[in-house]
Amino acid sequence: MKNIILSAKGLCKSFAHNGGQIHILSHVDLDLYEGDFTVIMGASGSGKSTLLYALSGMDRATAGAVVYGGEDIVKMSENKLAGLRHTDFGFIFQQMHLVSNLTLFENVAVSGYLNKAKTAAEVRERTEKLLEQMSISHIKAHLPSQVSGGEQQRCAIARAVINSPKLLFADEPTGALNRRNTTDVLDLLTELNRSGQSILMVTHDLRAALRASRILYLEDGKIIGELPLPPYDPNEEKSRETQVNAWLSSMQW
Amino acid sequence: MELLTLLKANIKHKKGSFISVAVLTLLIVTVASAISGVLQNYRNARDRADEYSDTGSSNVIIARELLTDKLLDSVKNSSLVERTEVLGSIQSVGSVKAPTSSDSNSYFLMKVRGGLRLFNENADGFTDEVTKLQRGEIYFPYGLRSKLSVEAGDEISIPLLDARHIFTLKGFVQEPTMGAMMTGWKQVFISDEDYDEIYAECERVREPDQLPFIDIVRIYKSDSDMTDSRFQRELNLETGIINNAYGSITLQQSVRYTGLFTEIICGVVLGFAAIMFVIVLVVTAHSILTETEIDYVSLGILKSQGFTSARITLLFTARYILAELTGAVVGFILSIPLERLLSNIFMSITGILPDKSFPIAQSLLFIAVIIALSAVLIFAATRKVTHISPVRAISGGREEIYFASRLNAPITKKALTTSIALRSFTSEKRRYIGIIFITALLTFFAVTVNILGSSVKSRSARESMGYVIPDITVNARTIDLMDRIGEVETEIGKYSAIRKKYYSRWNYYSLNGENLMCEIYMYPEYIPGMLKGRPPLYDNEVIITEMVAADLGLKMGDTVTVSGRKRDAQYLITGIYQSATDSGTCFALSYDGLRKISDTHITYFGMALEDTSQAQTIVDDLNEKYSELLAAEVYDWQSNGFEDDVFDIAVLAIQIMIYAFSGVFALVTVIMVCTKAFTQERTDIGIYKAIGFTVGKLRLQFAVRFFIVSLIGGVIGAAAGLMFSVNVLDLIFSLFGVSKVVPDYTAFTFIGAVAFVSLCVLVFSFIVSGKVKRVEIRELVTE
Repeated sequence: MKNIILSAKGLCKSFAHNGGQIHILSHVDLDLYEGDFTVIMGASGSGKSTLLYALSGMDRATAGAVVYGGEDIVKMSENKLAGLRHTDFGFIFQQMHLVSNLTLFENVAVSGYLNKAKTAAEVRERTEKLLEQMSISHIKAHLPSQVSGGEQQRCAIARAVINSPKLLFADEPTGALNRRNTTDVLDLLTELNRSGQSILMVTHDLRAALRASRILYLEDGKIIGELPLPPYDPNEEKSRETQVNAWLSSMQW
Repeated sequence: MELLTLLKANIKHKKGSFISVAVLTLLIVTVASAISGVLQNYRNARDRADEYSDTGSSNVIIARELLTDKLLDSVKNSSLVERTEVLGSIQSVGSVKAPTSSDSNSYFLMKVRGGLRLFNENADGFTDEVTKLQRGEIYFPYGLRSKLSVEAGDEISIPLLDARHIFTLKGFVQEPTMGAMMTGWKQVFISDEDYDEIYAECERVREPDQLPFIDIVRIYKSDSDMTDSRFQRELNLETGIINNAYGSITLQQSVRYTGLFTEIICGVVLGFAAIMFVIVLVVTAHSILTETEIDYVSLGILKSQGFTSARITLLFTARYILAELTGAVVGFILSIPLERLLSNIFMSITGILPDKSFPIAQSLLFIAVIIALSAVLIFAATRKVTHISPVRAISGGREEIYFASRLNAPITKKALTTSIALRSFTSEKRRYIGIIFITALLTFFAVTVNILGSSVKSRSARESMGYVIPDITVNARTIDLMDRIGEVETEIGKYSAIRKKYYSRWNYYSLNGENLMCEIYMYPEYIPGMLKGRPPLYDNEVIITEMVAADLGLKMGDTVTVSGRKRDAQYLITGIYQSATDSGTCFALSYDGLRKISDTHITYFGMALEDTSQAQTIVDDLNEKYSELLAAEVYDWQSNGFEDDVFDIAVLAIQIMIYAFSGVFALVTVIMVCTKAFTQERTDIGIYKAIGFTVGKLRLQFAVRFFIVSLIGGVIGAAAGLMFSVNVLDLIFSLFGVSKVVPDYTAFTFIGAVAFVSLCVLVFSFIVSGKVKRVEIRELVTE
């Protein structure tokens, strides 16, 4: 029996538009489990990213609750949420979003420095290790503008995990990458998950979805389907792809 | 049409820079228009006042006994003179007392005459005619209203020989020649009956050596092209009238003294406004360059749609000029009440009712110059637009490698906020050049006014600038004090040694025919403010100020003739000194030198003590032991002296004005520059938020960065202040007669200025950074 790491109840998100309301998320109930690699899929405009941001506390839900560690993060103060972001949650964006005037090393280390539990030396040491693990230690002194998209995304992953988050959120992390870089990034995420990292990823890339241990399908702001999967094995990728494809077809994807 | 649509959209989208440029222009136009209006209205009113009052080209103050018929005839018959008029007066002796103040200057009681104008109750105009005074009533010139803090209905006590006469202040008149606050002589007006009665009384009781009746001889030059000072000099050489006079004041001197304060304050403010305009130009250029960078993509798209660089340039120019015009129009409107307010303040000093017109043409010309200069700058700044490539713009607008810098501050866990702030600065230093320049300039001015303030408040600096600063003063009650001063010194010596002896008197004498204030020192070695050469140690030596040297074309080594009432003598100029007496138009002799032309005595004995704490004890002792002989006082140099008062007010006004101006400019420029930086860094702010930085930390980081930038500007400004402030101060002080400022400063003079400007920037940028709250992390989402 897996432990629930984060739980959403009746989650709604709507935006004001032309005097009316557009409802993006509609009473979403969802549990995320420790050690899972959960992937959310759905058509464009289905509310995938909105759900991810609402669950991660990057954006506040209009109604409902997101319980993490026994606390509703929807009701958390900005400062407490900020603390959560650099201790318990990690986030990977589609466009990497590295700070443009910091080197790759500094981009990773700055997040680590926010963690009061670690000394500067510990942060530097872990940063070096992560950059090594991401195979970008040779370009650690480069600025983001001086490296490729794949290298930037690997740096972004390192930044996201520098504080050993309990839950890693990823929003289309391969959306801006070429095929080769996509594989590299997915391998990294899979590796992280194997080492126990809980991951929630939004994607519409089938290859990315294959890495999941659980796929949720979102339509019109509601979860309409769930597909549990065994741990990813590259040798069984073909059969896994067929299974996922069939399931997605049943979801009208 | 499409340009108009874009212009409207641009103004709406870039309200911040539009408002900032408009506000800065508003400030400059408001201040400059108001100040130039004040000057013009004062000068016009002054000219008309002199015309109405029929002020003489030279106004000679002379004892009735010395104005012999022969002397007066020689003046009247001179070819230099068109006509003369003699106004009789009775001179006060001692301190004139008002309910809350007193004044020891010379007051001349006179009958009400033509040429005076009576202020109405609100002092915003004149009555149709000067109301006839009843017995016991008195009119004061308007300059005395604030100097003595008096109002109509107050009782005024005026000492005349042995009696004090009490008058009720009936109102205020405009008397342009001596009516200003800072003129040491005052004509006051009483009823004919009182005048005749007091005249007869004084005639009856006066001792033979007492000369209470003073004639003011107004002498009008025949050659209107001749300067007043030359006219007076040549007339004196021909007739000797000035040599016999108690003093004199030419129309030009009167105009200078009356308007001194107004002209200095207005001049400094206008000069400062001009510098502020440079700041506006810098801010505008910075804004345009930043916008070009921020809007690179939009501008590239416009180009790709067929917009030429010229049209885009026109778009920028139109928007900024429109902002300046908006500011200028509002500024122009605001300057009208401000001009009125300032004119009223200056009226209490000049005693002249200023005109109420507003110099529209002058202001419009001023605005036109601002707009024209700005247009040139905007055109130059938008040249960058021509280099925008549509292809590069569409691909994101950025260079392949940017933010690369050789000087990069390290990012550390300790002081993380500061290190990131420092990195933000070092990674793109060019962006901050504008604000460095502006803070440097503001700091320079703050340092300058700090040095000005501390120099004015510093005893040693003031002494070096020619001020006599004793610890105690002893005024003679009888001329016997001169013979017994040794005895007094011995008494003082029981408490403290005397460090410096300022035994002096001041009289007007003519030097090469020019009537000037002469400072006479019994111990010339203590004459303060020596600039060149040495003091007049021997009886055939004289020293002059730089102003006198320039006016009369004299230099060290020249021989001059100084004329007393009965004798004259030749003196060798041994030095140049500075003195604020008569705004620097004076010279100095030793007492031995004076005795060659006059038999007058030293009446003022000022002593600087070794042990200043004994001053009050000494004064009490002297006043007790020598009450018949002298009146001793502790000299509070920080609040004493007429010129000092005016000077202190002027300095304080300049300090307040420059600090207030700097604060407002810092606020507006910081808002403008920070807003641009904020727009440029919106994504980075979102990223920092996403990785766990709190809003407070991000705001602090933003503010600290601008604080660091302003500190750099501040240090540059402080260094410039250290090197060049004294030149600016020389210019200001020279108007008071002090040609070489001896600056007095401490580390705080600079630290205070840097701290003021930097803290303004820190606080204002922290306030502006409140926008961080509005950055949503979801803005980073790419759908």
